[in-house]
Amino acid sequence: MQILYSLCYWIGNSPMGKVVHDSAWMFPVIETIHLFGIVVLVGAASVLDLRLMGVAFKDFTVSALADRFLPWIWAGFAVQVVTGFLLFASEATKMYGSGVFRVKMLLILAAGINALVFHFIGYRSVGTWERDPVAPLSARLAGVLSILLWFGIVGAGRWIAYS
Amino acid sequence: MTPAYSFFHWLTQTYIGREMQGNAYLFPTVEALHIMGSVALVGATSIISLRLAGLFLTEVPISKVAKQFLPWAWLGFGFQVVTGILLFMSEATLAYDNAIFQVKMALIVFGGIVALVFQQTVYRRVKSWDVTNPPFSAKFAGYTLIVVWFAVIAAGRWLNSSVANAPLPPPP
Repeated sequence: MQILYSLCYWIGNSPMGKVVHDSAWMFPVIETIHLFGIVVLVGAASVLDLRLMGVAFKDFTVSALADRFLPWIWAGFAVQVVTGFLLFASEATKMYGSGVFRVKMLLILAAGINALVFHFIGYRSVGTWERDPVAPLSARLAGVLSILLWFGIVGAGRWIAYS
Repeated sequence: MTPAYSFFHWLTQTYIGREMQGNAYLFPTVEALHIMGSVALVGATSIISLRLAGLFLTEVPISKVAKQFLPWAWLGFGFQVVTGILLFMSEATLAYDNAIFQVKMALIVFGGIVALVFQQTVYRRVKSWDVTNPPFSAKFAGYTLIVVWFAVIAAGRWLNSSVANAPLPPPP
């Protein structure tokens, strides 16, 4: 994957990557904001997932929860993309060689595909089942997959620091 | 040696303390669990706090938001206490005299006091403002708790690097 390595090398040696890498305080500060972002993104996503799974928040309709929590999911996701990219840029060539980093990126991709598939297939019929305490199997499955993937991503993130 | 230091030292020498230090996978695993627990604890408390501040879920009565999300906050808190104690036991002597550790603990106690005082005073009259604009004291508690819990996360992150970079202190 010569082209991928070249890309990582270029990002790592860009002014942005160098600034974060050379600064004593920027990496920990950005990492702290990345931890804050976890709470927003994974917290809001988990609320929806637990409702889809039929585990909690059954007093709320699925669409009401989606209306309220999706903006937080997107806001959290944006914070994570920006802070995550800055952290990556500061050690891009190191991340190229990190197996855990690749696993994390694949898990994020899987979480995105799972959400997209659910949004365009399972969620389309939400009007017919959103008041049911237990959602259809496809929705429950999407919820379980989503919560497992997001917490897996958090775990993988912690592991990158040790790899 | 002060009694506190002796106790901290004893913790590091217990079976659990030694396992946490000796097993290369145990510490990062518990640390990852501690981060996951922060999602449950800080996520759930933030939802309640945002509702108290009048910034989120305003169409839902406060008592309903509390009823739905407080169990998750408590579950997360219990989980954080257990995983936090495990992490602490592995490096208790490093946390001794560590200002950031003391700040983190003080923030947690402060957050607990704010929540307790709020619950025993303003929240007792929740019926009178459950569906309307929360009183100033409720908004104040909401804003304070959000700031405190996110500060606890930041202190935890800082504790990690301060302990990792600390030389082993001599016993006082």
